[in-house]
Amino acid sequence: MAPAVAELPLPAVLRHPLATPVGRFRPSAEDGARARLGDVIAERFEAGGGADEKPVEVLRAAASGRIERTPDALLLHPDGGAKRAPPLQAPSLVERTLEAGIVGLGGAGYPTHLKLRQALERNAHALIVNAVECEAGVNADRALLNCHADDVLHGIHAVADALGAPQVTLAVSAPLPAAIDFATQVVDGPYPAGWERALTQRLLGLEAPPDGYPTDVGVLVLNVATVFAIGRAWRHGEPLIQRVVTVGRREFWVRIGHPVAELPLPPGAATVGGPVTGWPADADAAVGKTTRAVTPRPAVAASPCIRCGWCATACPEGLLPQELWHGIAAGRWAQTERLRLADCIECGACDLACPSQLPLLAALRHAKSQRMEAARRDSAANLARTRFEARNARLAARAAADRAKRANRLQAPRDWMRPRAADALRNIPPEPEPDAPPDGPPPR
Amino acid sequence: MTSRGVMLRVGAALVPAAAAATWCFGAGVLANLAIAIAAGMALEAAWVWLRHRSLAAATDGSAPVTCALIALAAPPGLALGPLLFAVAVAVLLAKHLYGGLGRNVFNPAMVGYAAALVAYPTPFGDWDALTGATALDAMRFRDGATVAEAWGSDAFGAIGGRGFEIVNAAALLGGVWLCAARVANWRFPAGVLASLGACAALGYDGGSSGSLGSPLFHWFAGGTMLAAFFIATDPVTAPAAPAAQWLFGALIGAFIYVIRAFGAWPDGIAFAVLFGNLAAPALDRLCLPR
Amino acid sequence: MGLLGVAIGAALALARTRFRANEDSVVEAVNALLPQSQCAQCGYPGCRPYAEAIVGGAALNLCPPGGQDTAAALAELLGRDGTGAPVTEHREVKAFIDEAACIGCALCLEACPVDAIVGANKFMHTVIAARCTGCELCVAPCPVDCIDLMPAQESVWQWPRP
Repeated sequence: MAPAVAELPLPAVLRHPLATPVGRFRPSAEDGARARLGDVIAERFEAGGGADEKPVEVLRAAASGRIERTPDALLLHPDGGAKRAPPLQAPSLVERTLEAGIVGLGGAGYPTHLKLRQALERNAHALIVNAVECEAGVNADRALLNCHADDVLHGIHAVADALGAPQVTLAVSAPLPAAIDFATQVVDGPYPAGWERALTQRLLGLEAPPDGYPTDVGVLVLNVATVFAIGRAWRHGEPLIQRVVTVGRREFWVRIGHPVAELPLPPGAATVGGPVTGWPADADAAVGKTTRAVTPRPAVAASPCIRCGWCATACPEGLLPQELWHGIAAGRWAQTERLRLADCIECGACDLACPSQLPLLAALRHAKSQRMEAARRDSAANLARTRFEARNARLAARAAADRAKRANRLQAPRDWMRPRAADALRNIPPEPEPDAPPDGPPPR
Repeated sequence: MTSRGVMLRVGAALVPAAAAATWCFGAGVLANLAIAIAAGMALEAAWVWLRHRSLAAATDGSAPVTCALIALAAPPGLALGPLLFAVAVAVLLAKHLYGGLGRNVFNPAMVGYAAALVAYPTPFGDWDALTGATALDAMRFRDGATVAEAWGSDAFGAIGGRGFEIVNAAALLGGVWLCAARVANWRFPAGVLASLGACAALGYDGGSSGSLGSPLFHWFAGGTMLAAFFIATDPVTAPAAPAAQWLFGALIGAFIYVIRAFGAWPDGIAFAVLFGNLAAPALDRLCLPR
Repeated sequence: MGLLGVAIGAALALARTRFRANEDSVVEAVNALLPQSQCAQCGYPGCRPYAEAIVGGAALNLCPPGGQDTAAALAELLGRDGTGAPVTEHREVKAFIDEAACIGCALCLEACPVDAIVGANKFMHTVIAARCTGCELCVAPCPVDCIDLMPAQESVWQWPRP
């Protein structure tokens, strides 16, 4: 049995940035309010959703404490109290997963209840529990399996029961200690072997559609940490408030929101989220639900691209990262579209391969978020135009109807109209043609 | 692996060819190498220092590789003037005036070599006392002799040019290792050699007086293997799309043959590679997704 | 920047292949580049009227929400000079009604070009934030000055430029 995973002490403050790669959180607790351990403190909604919609993700307090709201983040100052929210109650696994705030802990951060729901709708016949850590030096999944196999198994059974009787595969990167009694599949291969699409292909021979997910071919792939969290939520009613994180070279239980600056790391720059797919920590960086690792960041000296094409060889999606890099640097967005920027899975294999040590992944991520932002603006503009045109059409129709009504009255003044009113009606000047909306802009 | 690691491996892969050339052509090869590499690095360092750039731009290892290629492509014991001219054009004009590593359009070594070839035609035709005329010249200017008759001359070895065949074999060895180590892309040499072989096969009619040399002869004469494995494989000046890479290699192979068969230059590799560089962006446009 | 990058690219590609010389199509292409805030700050009653005016010869730099990017994109589309007095840069805002002060006069309802305000006479009004373009047209008609423009807070995650 491997040594137990140590728990890091509670920091002075837990920080939750509101803008995250998957969307923006809305604080649901007021500034200065008290939260118990496990209370919902922030929620995330689908983009453009109204206030009446259900959240797609909730964030729960990892300690009892006082809430502080800033424009960019939600802070929780632990007060050392032991007040706890009641255990989770939702009767169905899908609801319980949402209630617990569980998302894809492997890194994607996609809400697990949505994935479960899709798997149920498509009658998924297979469940792959993904413990293939493909980034060198990250052992969080392995530590979880070594020390908490029972709760992982509870999670597997909970999901398997919900799906009926799927074929369950536990995929690991190296054989597990014999003490763990569960059939495993060892998956070794070049990075990124643990990418769910590659895993589905390799273990089951099923190919997910290019624009789709493994659930489209009836396969549910869940990271082992996600399954563990499901196990805790289902069996013990516990929300997701901490996770196993590789900090430097060791694994710890770290609460969600733990500031990176207060992790036991040597001084200097740090990478949040795995040495390959992570990004440089800024002063306000904190451990999030998808943070598998925080490691010291080695200084690299990038040199110019020599177009060696190793990134293209390494890319699991068959993209040409070197061409994308040049297109992004020159702002040629149409070219990046043709080079299928949108298909990048952000695995960072190109970064690993690049002899010039260029920040390819960072450039691709930047370009992808610019692309999303442009698409968002585009759809907002389209919506505004449609509504503007609909309103103009409505106003024009109403004006035309009004004119027709008045014309009728002029031709045949009703009996009940007194003579003076009829005269007044006859003297109304003709209305201008309704080309422009009647209520023009105020003069500027 | 870093960029410098790449250049280090390319340099290592050149060692067999350099050793073979020294063995066949004498210490003049080593003199070429020493002078070219020292001059190239000094020029680059001076350039970077004058422009107040980080010294990293002069230590990426690409200049020594460029200069080593010039030294191996040039006749051994080349006069100081032509050699320094070639190195200066390669490092300053073809590399740094285009913006430095990764931004040059033409292969610097071949720009330098071609410029010196045009500026100093005589010393470049002058290989050494061992062979007198090179095998490529002997094949081209043989006064109506059949290939078999011409082969009696000192210029030829077992399969290619005397001496050159050994250097080519050594370059092939280093080049194959470079491809196996995934440093060089195998599509380029495969394209060059296949295309050169195919062209030679078309022009070879069994060795009559009008014959232009067998594929085997062309593979093992002049700087074929050096061009195929070390010069055409420079990714900066080559296309990125796999299909374009095949075309690029094939184009260079065909140009090498055409220049050797019908041109007046000692060898065709420099101009062939420059033509290929010229075509690379168009090939990418043709083959990249649009 | 490249805020409208993809939109511009797509619009230009579309404009080149599909719209040639047909004036209506040119208006459509110009309209597609405008931000559709319908704010009338250009002096025309909405984006499409401004698009028509541009095709008729109006200046390209009159659109404050679009900013320099839009002016540049228009210049490229039409092959005309997009310079001139610089337009103000885009600042994303949303209208917000102080519901305690609102008297239910319904004047702002009429002013909103995209029907983003709900309410009725003598009932409190509110702005549907997701539909508001921040055009400011509702601010002037309000008799009790209860409409404020707030910076759109929903800033989304953006990966920084490396």
